[in-house]
Amino acid sequence: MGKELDKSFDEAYSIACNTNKKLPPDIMLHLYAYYKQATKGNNYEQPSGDVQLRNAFKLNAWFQLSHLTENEAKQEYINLVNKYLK
Amino acid sequence: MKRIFTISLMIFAVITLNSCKKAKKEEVKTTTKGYTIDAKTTSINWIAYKTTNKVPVKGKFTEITLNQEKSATPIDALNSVKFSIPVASIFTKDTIRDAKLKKFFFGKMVTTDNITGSFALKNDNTGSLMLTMNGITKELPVIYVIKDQLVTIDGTLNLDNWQAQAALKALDIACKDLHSGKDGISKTWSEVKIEAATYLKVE
Repeated sequence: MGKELDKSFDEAYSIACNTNKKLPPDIMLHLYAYYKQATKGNNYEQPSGDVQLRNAFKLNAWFQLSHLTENEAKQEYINLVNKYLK
Repeated sequence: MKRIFTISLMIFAVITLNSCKKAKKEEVKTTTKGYTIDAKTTSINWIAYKTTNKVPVKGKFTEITLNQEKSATPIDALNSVKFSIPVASIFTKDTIRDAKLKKFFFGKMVTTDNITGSFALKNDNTGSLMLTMNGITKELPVIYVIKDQLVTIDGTLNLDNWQAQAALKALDIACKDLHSGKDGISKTWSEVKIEAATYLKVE
């Protein structure tokens, strides 16, 4: 189950990275937050961008997922990719 | 003569107005950047424990009110803040559990609405949080990390220090089956881990 989830998550990540589709900003933010929660959990780190407002939005979105386990976040990320990018 | 006097008066008025404008501009220039804490980019997570096997129960508070001043450094910003957390904003992904926590735990306390506090952080990544809960103010040792604008603060509190034994007992009775492990013993731990994070605003 864990390995299957990881495989599906990696595939979803690959699709999201290589897509040419333009997604609305709120969906992009969700993808960012689920990815971070899936890979880092609640071990927060400063976003790499240097625009304060954008970083604040990113962290706000990530903070709101603190109740999800890493596997739950992986599944939500996969669901989002399947819904908007497949 | 009268005309010369009027022109002189006008020139004087223009010079005076210009110097006023300059003074205002200089005033704006001297405004320095400072750090503040933004409630929207602040996260307060906690981990409590149940059963004799110490099964973690994760939760968070979704609201915080901040009373603060703009400060020159991140540590000063944190040390200047007085915060208030409405206990009604507790969230554990389980509405039945949230209701029990509000009614049987926080509801049994002397002050049932808010948890309040302030920080006294030192420069060596340690410090303390003066936390007021159940009408009692106690010091909670914390460790913190500041990386750019992101601050994380961790600490572990013992609810006994806030004389929350009665509230904890009430919660333990209300959740007897859920807090019992394979050994059939119901246990709600007085230890609670706190993990806070905030993205400081610089302006």
